[in-house]
Amino acid sequence: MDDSKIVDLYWARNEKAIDESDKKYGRMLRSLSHSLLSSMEDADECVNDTYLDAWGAMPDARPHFLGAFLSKITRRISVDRYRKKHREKRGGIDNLLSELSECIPADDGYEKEQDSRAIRELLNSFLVSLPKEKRVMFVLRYFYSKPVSEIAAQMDMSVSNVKVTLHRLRQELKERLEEQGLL
Amino acid sequence: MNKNEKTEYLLSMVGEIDDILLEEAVSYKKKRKKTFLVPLVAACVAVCMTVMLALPLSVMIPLGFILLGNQDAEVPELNNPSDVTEGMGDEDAEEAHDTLDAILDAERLGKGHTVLDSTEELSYIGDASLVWQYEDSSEVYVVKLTQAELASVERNMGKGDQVGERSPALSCRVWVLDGKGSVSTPYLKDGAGNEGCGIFDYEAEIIPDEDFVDCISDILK
Repeated sequence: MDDSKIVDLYWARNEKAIDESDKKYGRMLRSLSHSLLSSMEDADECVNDTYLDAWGAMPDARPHFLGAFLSKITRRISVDRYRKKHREKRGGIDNLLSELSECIPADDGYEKEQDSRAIRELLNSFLVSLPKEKRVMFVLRYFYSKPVSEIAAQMDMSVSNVKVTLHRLRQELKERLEEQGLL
Repeated sequence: MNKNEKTEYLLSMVGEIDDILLEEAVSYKKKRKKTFLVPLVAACVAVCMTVMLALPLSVMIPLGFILLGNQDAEVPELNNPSDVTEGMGDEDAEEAHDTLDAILDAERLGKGHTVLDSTEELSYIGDASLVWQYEDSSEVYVVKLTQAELASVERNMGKGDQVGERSPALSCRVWVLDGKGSVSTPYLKDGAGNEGCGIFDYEAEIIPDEDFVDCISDILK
């Protein structure tokens, strides 16, 4: 079913919206949550919470890309759940945090209030400036938390090639953050 | 904030990137180079030729007369296998097309354009414009062009490589409005029959070349 039709169901408060969302995006959302939390049980709960949040967000929200809208909710819920568990399990998020820590400029001891809007804009402009392949690779890894091997298969590249490219992208992002004095 | 907190914060911020980028990543499919097709087709043609040559001419020539229904019909020349592959190796053209797609995609996230709900809202007389629309959406993206930009675009239009046996699947259609009521597209050859008075659908005849893509890239920078 088309995204706009599913959104119409949400707006009409028709519970079929949840079924259709799950049919179309359930697998992707579970995969996203599982790759962050390493637990199918937790992933199922996060996805169910996602539909609850989405139900509450619409009407008012009318997302153009429903998949992206739901993915963001799932990701946020999964990251929050991970934080609540205080890293009891070593999972996907630990690997992401380890990689993304390379993007953080050296701490010069000066504490600044973080400007979330500026960081968001920087991230978007950084990604837009990249060639499509690299942009897709970054999003697949750091938003969707896809394993490197899966990214390599999807992009018809070798695992080492993907790893090297991601490393370079992290360095580029770090330079951008340093230039703007963010983080 | 210590480094761990900053890293977690960055991880959260990645969760806020634009929806279009998420959609692009999810629907990304690597275009595999169809290099296997050329030798495969050439091999098939070679096999057919071998079979045809192996049959006695005494069978082929009367068969040709029967089929053609003309006692004076000449035996048709066998095609050069390379003719079959004409237009198949248009990877450079596909790359230029992909680059134009990418440039327009990137512009979608920028701020220098207008978005209309449908082509009905377009004014065909007044402003020279670059217009594009995605296959799965009724939204129309419009960037106004100065006269100099329009001249540059028109200079580089209609010159691309001819498409092969099949037109590439276009996820995005592009038009140029001259501001005087005429609409054309870089995917059709120059000619009066290839202009319209409004937005029209088309099957690509040519792929915009690098000069056109560079021109658009300069305008949208």
